[in-house]
Amino acid sequence: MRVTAGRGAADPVRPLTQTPAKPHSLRLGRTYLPYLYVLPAVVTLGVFIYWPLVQVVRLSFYQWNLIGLKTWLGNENYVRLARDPDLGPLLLQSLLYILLALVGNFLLPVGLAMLTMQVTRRAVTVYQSLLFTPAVISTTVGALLWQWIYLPTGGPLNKFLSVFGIGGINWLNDQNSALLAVSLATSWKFLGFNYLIALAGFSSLPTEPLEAARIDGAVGWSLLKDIIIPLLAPTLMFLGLTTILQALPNTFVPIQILTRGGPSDASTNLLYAVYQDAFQFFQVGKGSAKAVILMLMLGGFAVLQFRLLERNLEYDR
Amino acid sequence: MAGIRASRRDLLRYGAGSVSSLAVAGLTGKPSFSVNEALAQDDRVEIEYWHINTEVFGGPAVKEITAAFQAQNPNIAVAERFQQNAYTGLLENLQTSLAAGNPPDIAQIGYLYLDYVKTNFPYTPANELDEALGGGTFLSNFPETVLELGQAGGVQLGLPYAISNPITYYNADMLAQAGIDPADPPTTWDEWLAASQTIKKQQGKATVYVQLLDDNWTTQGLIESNGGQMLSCGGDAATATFDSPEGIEAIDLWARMCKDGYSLNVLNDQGMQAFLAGEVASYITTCARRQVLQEQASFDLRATTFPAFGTKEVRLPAGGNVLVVFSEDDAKKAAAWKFIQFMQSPEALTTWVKGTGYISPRPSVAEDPNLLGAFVRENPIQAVAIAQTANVRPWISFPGANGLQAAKSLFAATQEALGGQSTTEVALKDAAKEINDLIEGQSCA
Repeated sequence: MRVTAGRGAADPVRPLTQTPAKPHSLRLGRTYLPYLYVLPAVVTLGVFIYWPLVQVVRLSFYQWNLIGLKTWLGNENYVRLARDPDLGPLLLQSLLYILLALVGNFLLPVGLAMLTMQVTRRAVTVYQSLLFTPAVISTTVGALLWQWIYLPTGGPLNKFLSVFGIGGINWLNDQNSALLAVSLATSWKFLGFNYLIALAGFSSLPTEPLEAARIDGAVGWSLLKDIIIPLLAPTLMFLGLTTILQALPNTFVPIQILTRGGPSDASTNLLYAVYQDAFQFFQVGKGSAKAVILMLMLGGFAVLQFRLLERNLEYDR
Repeated sequence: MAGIRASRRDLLRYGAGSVSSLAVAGLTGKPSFSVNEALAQDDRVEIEYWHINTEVFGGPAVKEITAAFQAQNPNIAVAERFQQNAYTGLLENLQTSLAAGNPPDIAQIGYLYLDYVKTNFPYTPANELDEALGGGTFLSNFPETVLELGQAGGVQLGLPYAISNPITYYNADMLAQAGIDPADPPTTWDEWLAASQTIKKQQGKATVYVQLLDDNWTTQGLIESNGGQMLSCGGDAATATFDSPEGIEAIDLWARMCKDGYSLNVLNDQGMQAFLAGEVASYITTCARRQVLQEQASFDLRATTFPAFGTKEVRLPAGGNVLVVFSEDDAKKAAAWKFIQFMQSPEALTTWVKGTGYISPRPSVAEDPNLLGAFVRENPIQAVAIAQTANVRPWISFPGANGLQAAKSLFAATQEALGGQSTTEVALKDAAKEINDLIEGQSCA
């Protein structure tokens, strides 16, 4: 048994009896044990995330059709991409998808969660169920449902709009509406999940600062801007970040089923273009170069958001 | 020299017909693979068969045929795997699986992609398999014109299995309501235009939906039926020629019909939904949808031929697929060929044709009263497809490594024309220029 006393620096207490020195192997174990604990995570991340990332970067310097020999091109894929007149519209459409996702999968669920907080507990359950239902429907089935909703003749959406004298919109095959239609179908699917996260954030807000603010006369916009939003900052930042990072991947299935990127590439984006280049046209190098650009773009957003998150988290400390 | 070695048990298992073929092939050394000792063992051989048949598009027929084969061949396990997005999707997955070193043993390859497969993929030609395992006799069951559908660059890549052509399904109730005799439906574009005007006026609905997919199948049918050509193979290089006056006129007719509300500018799934919902009176698509449309239509469904441009000869691309063997292992190659022979047997073809709407690659099956004879007589839709076989031409693919991208350019141009984003002439001319850059220096298959 080892007897020790308090830890006062002025009164260092030494063990009354000396414990035997730990064996070398035990000390080694203690040194390396933390690394062993993280090893499974490091290996998993390395094999499934970082190694493929390195490979994508490497492949972007080659010409390869998946089965033939790889031909080294240097930076040729990037040079061609920079000169490609389709790159501008592709980036613009990608940003548009992200922007629409922020509206449909960030602002809307946060707004709905805020409104839901105003109703009774029983009503909250009803709203939760209604809004979360699309999240449990498979993305493919959801996209097929929207395919029917968007039917230009006899489709429910156009039938509804015809009541207001609006008619004949070919949602999926008109260059002006295809991107919006895909984005709407995507947001419908992912709105419920984000709504639940936002609702959880609102539910966990501390009541004391809110009460204090109200006593001090804060109401409406000032209560929201100065008290609620800062308190909710971690939740909002998480939602915002995941919405941006998932905006393009979430559109893949809807695009594949509803428009295949058309008409005339009007509903495509950088992520779908990567798939088309690499797995439809088997130009893996070109697709990888686009993937690297996508990675940098989303990485930039992530860094920006992390910085904002750090700044806003000050409120919560 | 690649030799053929097989034990007595193999030979019994694979039939007396194979005995001579194995011996002959072994002597001549023609086949590039050998039936190795694996066949001599009683081990189960597992093979994978990739197809595009959904539950509503021949899937049940695939399952029935596979189950029947397994009942007869308990030592060969066949895993049938559906691949999404038709032949394009199957090709994408095939290339990926080849890259991973795990290809299927048999795959349905659309006629459109034969040249691509021949150029890029490792496969075993059907004639080699037939010589090694069938005495070179099995292929003789098929007419030369059918076998040619499975060839690219003079090589018999596989055995044509599904043969289709585009026919015009129509809602007889809608036609009758418009005062058009359903027994005497329109057969030319002019007649369909006249019918469209009547139906639009009376019922406020569209009349003709032409299948729109990224494989350009119906686009080719329209252009070539008006006397145009997809590709010119003169000289040493292939040139896109779909932007000829005939080609522009054909696609422009389609675009004008969309603009006037006589046709629908939607992708195939939505077009089929609209047809089944009675929102459009006719649907020009593959005869292979016969079974599913008959099952799901709640109206009097009939079919007629692909519309002609006046008195011009109708020229239709052959749709469907070829069964190609991608096995790397000799025992699997033998098992795959045995399964293909079973799929192409008169009984299995009867199940296949009844369950889809495809035309039998063996005409004798369609004529035999004990097989499909009575079925064809009682099923006028199937008879329409068979009657059109004389008008069938090869389904054109753009050659070279950029061929798939070239096909996408034509599809995008068609959508631009149909959507009115640019005139048909501008859209097709621009696409032809882009495609000719993509296929520069390539020769026709």
